[in-house]
Amino acid sequence: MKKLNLSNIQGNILRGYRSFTRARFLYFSVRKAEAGRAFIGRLLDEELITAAQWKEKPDCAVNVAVSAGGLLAMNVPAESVYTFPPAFCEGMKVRATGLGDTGESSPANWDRPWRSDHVHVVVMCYAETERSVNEHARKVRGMLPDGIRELSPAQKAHQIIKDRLALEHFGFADGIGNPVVEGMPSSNERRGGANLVAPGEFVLGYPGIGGEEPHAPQPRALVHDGSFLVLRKLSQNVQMFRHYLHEQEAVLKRVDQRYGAGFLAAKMVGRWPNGTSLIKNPDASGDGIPDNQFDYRLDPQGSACPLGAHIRRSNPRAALGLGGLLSQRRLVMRRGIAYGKFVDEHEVPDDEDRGIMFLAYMTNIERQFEFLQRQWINHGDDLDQGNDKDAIIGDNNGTGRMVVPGDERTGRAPVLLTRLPRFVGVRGGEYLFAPSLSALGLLAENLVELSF
Amino acid sequence: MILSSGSGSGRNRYGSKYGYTALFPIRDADCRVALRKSLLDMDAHKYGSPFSDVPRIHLARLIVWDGLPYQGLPSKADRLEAGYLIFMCDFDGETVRNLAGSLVVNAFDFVQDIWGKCSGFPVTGEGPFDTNAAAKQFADYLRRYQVETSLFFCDQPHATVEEILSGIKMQIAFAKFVEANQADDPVTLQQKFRQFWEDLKGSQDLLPGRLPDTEPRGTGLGEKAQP
Repeated sequence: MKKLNLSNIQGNILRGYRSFTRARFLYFSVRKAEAGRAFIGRLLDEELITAAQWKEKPDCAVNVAVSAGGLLAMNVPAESVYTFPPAFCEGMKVRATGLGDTGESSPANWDRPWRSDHVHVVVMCYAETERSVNEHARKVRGMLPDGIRELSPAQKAHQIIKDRLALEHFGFADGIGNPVVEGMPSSNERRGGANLVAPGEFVLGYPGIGGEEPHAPQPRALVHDGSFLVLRKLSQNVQMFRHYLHEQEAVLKRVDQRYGAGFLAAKMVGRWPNGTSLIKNPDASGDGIPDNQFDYRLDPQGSACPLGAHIRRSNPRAALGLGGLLSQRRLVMRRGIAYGKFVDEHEVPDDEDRGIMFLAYMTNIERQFEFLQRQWINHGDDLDQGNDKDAIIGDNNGTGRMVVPGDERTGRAPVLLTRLPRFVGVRGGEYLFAPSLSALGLLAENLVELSF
Repeated sequence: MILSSGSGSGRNRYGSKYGYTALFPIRDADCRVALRKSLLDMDAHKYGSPFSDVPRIHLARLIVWDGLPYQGLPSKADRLEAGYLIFMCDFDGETVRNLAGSLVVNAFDFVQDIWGKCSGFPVTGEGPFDTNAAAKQFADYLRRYQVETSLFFCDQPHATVEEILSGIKMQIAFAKFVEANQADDPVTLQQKFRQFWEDLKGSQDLLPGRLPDTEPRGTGLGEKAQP
């Protein structure tokens, strides 16, 4: 197998920043091509940009991603930019309808800077302390030449750590189900050598699961060892989520006493709050650590994990047949990190905005992220869910439904969750490309050209 | 889709469906512009698409094809002699005549608006209108520009539009029933269910494009699904 060039691939793509609990996202607009290039050049000269492999752990990891508009603004030849896939060239706003970014979540209602500005370059800083993140953000800003403008506000983000688990705002352990990539150090121990996913699903220039190299834009030097990044600011309405669960509990406990708010939430997500799976622990939370070694083949009716549960929809694993290959074609590498103050289950949520900075790396935005969003999250036909949408992140409008199948083993009757509203709204985002370190060098030196 | 080797499959056929595909040369540049507008205007139909009036058709696509993007490097210009209207649909029936008849009878204005901008469209609509003659002429026309195929989109090869709509009607009604009554005690539930079943049997069938309680939805990205 082709060896992964880990000193060229940017960090956080194949290996997550688990230990960096603080993050800052800085947004820039390039007004003069030379300025954009000089900025990237300075980041490289200062050796600030972090690769997947480091000799010594940096105090702060810094990574860079560029939008299609950003490539054009830095004078990358249009003949090259337009070999990038249409979704990337058009940008996330243009794709809004298909993504379900409508109503309150439509681009016209997004937060600054996404609503009105064109984000060309995103710089992401990750560190263990707020102080270090601040320091590096300051350092990055200090390198800005004239002709490039920071778009405010910058975005703060942080991991919510509780009982050594990273949680999202609804109170569930997050980031558990990521694929293990073939050729990564330690991948064999983590999966016993099984269920590995080929690196070409996440990094360009390597074979994907079909054995073929995914279609790559031109020139190769610009895109090899690079990855597409889908960045979205997703706002979670914790108040609405909790209120909904209690409302449903009041009705559904009359069907079966077991349908308490916590049980219903677990059925909607597909895991218990501590990350243990419903497949291995169908009746009550497991007390172990989050598990990922399970499949849905032995639960075809969804008695344990509903067919419409969030994690089953996002990755049906082998439930679609062919040993899970159909699902593997849609996997993305999720690197989300929370923003906003966490509200413990005993506290009452305030009006402050909170949610997740959704980051997902992949080699094909249309085949991976957009397919997931369109076919499995906001539509249910492939998963025998008809028009029902994902109960957690679907673009529901107050009339959504989700079937929670019963369980003959325990005599639990099936119920229908009704009047689902939209719990997770979109506040901004863009389709970006995270070039390799060497490709960033080409950008900085204005050496991207197509040769015939 | 997957083609079965059993009966009912073969050239242009799968299950009880006929898959029709054709390329019609567009008359001239003005017609091409007008045709694009007509296709956009289809969304304004009160049920989302003029194909809603043609109950035989499951899914139809109309595409104006007027350029050839050259794939590969170096890129070079490439052009078509004429623009084409691509028309693809799958319908309940066995012959192109079934399709032509259904379009002429149910959506003749639409047929004229679209195909009237293509070369060789034979049905003028002047004088006393003879449905049979028009259907025959239109069928000949559809056959003339047909591209034979054994691979076409066909989501539900063994159910007619009517059967699918009946299934959807039942699904919607049952979901509503569950929503309203799931917390009832078994005796009440059984009584209500019997009544529900009687009401359902006597209820009116759904018509294409007229589904209650559902948002109008396209396929989202790319072309819009019709009807």
